[in-house]
This record gives sequence, C-alpha cells and structure tokens, in this order.
Amino acid sequence: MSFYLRPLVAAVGLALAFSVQAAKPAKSAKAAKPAAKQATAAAPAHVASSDLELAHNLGPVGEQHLQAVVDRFNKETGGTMKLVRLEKGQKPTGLNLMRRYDMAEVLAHPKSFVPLYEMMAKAGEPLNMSDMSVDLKAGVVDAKGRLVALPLAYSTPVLFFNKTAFRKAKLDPDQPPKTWFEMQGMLDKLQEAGFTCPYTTSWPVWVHIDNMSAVSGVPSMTEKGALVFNGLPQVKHMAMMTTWVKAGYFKTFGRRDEASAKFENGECAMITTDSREAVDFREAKGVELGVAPLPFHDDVYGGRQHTLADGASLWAGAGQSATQSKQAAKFVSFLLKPEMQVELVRIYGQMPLTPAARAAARSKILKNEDETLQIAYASLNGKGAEPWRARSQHRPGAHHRQ
Amino acid sequence: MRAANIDPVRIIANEELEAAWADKKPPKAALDAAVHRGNAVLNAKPGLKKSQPF
Repeated sequence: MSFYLRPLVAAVGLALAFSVQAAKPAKSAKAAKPAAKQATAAAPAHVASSDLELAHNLGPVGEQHLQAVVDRFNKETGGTMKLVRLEKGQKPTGLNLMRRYDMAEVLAHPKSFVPLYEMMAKAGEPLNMSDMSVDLKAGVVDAKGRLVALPLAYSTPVLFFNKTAFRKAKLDPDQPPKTWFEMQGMLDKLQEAGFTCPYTTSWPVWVHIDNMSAVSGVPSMTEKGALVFNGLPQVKHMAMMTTWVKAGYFKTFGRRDEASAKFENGECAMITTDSREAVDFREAKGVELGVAPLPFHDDVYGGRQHTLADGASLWAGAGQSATQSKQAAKFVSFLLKPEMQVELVRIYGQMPLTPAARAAARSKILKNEDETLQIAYASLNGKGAEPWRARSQHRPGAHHRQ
Repeated sequence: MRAANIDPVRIIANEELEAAWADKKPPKAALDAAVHRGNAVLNAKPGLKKSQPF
C-alpha cells in the first residue's frame, strides 16, 4: 500500500488511513499548520477561534496531500481554513472528512451535523448534483433525495491481478476470470507455478459479504435494516472460499487492507479490494497491474448485478458561525471543480463526482487508473454484467435463488 | 445500508468468517451465527441501522 509517491507501506490510502489512524494515540490538533496568511491580504482579519476547521483522520501522507488542497483553497479564495485531526469520540468541527467505517457512532447523531444541501443553500453556493452518479449517493442522501454530505472519496471493489504472475502460470494476462468458478482453475495454475498466495482479499466483510451479496442480487441487509446475508448464494460462496483456503488458493491476512501489501510485494497474484487502491499498486515492483470487475457466480438467478460504492464523505458540523459556514460552502464548490476532482483522483484514486470531472480525468490520469475507473463505473452500473447475464439465464438448473 | 459499515456488525461478521475459513465452523453455521448475533445488536441499538444521520 502506498500513496502517490509511495513513501508509506500499509498505512496510507484514504480508506486505509482512516482505519489505521483511528487506532493510534491522539496527535495534537495543531499538528497541521495552515499556510494561509500570506495570500490573504484582501481578506478580513480573523481571530484563530473563528477559523473554519477541516477535521480528518488520514495518515501522514494523506494529511500532507489534504494540507496542499487546503493551502490551495486558502490561497485562491483568501480563506483561513485549518486542517485538524478528528479523533474517535471527538465532536465534529466545521467540516469533517470521514468514513462511516469506524465512525458509525458519531454519524448516529443528527444534531452534530448540518445537511450539506442546507449549508450550500444558505451560503448561496450552487449544488447541482443531479447529474452525479446515483451509485455514489449511498449513505449521503436523505429520504427526499437531498445531498446531506459530499461523497468525496468513494470507490468500489474490483479484482486486481498481476499480469506478470499470469504469464508465469501460462495464463492469458488479457483474460482475467469473470466468475469465481473460472477463477478456481486459474488459482490452481498459479499455485502450480509456485505462487503460495494465488488469491487474497482486503476488507473481507465489505467484499465477501456486502458486495458479493449485491453482485448476486441478494442484498446483505433488508431495507428495514435486518441482516439477511445467510441465504443460499452467500452460503455457497462461503463454502467455496473455505475450500479455497484448504487448498491453499486463498490466503487471508486481516480484517482491513493488510492483504494489499501482499499483492503489492508480488506475494499474492490476485486481490479483491477497493478500486481506489490502483494508485497504490501502480508503482509496485514486479507487479504489472491488471484490473477486472469483481467475479460473480454464474449459477445465481438473474446473472451479475452491480457492486457497491463507499468511502469517505465530507460532513458539515453544526454550530458554526455564518462566516465559517460560508467558507465551508465555498470549499465544497472548490472541491467540485473538475480540475480539483482530477487532482484528487490522481492522489486518492476515488471516483470523480460529476461527468465533467470524469471526462477531465480520462486524459489526465495514468492508463492503469483510467482503466480501473472505467471498470469501477461499469461495475456499479451493472453494465459489466450484460455480456454474461444472457448466458446464465440459459443455463438449465441455474435458478436456485431463495 | 451495508453490514461492513456498522462497526459491531462488521466485527461479528469478521469473527464468523474467520471461523469458517479456519474450518472451525461449517460455512452455513458461521453465516447464520453472524446474522443472528448481528441482528441482536441492531435490535438493541436500532440507531445503528440508519445509513446517515438525517
């Protein structure tokens, strides 16, 4: 796992940093120094306490990148926004970049936040998110479809594979597995070729319960919030994974993204993890990166459905002054500009929020990341499934959805 | 709403997945236990079922 110039192993990446940092001791909120003063000649003088704060719990490299974004914002707008750390159990501040993962308790308190659409409207900033991908709206819209937070760093699970490993195992590097069943034969060949870890996964629950369920068309939870991931497709999948563990095809390393480092160092030939990790894998030595949609089970009724998007979103905290709210709204507009979106994609690998940003990203990011983004979007829209759907419907005896 | 996003549910699901993959429990028993234990937590704290605060 590395971030951009990959000075870190295992501890960076947005998603990653969120989780890793939460377990670490609190760092002073003053650790991140704003560098805004010099550019603010035209701006009114602020006392420190009235400055807008952006709280995050990224790792050191993530923090450095975010600081650069904040500096740029302050410079361009004469703002005085400060970066601070968001620790577990702490009250939200003006703006809060957080992932639901590890922050479920904080996000259970509506009084701590202001809905994003409300903040933007009051500040007179536009928020035309109607053209934003519906898939990116998970967990950030209210019952009326209004945007309550900005899904800034979302991605979706994909299958990454090492083309170099494929060649060693005499597999076609341009033919990644489409189904879990097809994948099994490839894992056997990789093992024969000497790979001790043919396949691994990061975020096991997210990939193998939530997304595997979604792809099979049987959600892991009902709309009312009851867990239902013990149906036939999930049990069959889990049974298959168990046989893979026994056969040595599938190795696990932890509950978060511990496995990502094992793919990056070439030990594991394939991994299922969030699409944004393409930016971490791109410079891995000995790894020629291949990317494919998350495999599916072709004997599940209805064929391949879509994967799920998730990640960190930006939440506005309650109790801010009008000046602070206005600046926060301005920052949201700043982040939505296509050039900033492209910059963020380059750094984090997340999915751009708007079609304009998506189009801009195509020409300006590396081929690997562009390919990953295209696959991620196709996977979310279910379009990547179309060629296979027809086939599975023609299979006799394939209909055993509960 | 996703199981992985509810901290206590994710912890339970991880425990049960690990039990299945370590061959300590049959896969169905592990998933049944994860669903049963997870729903017990959600019923005790229904606020956790909300995907966003508003």
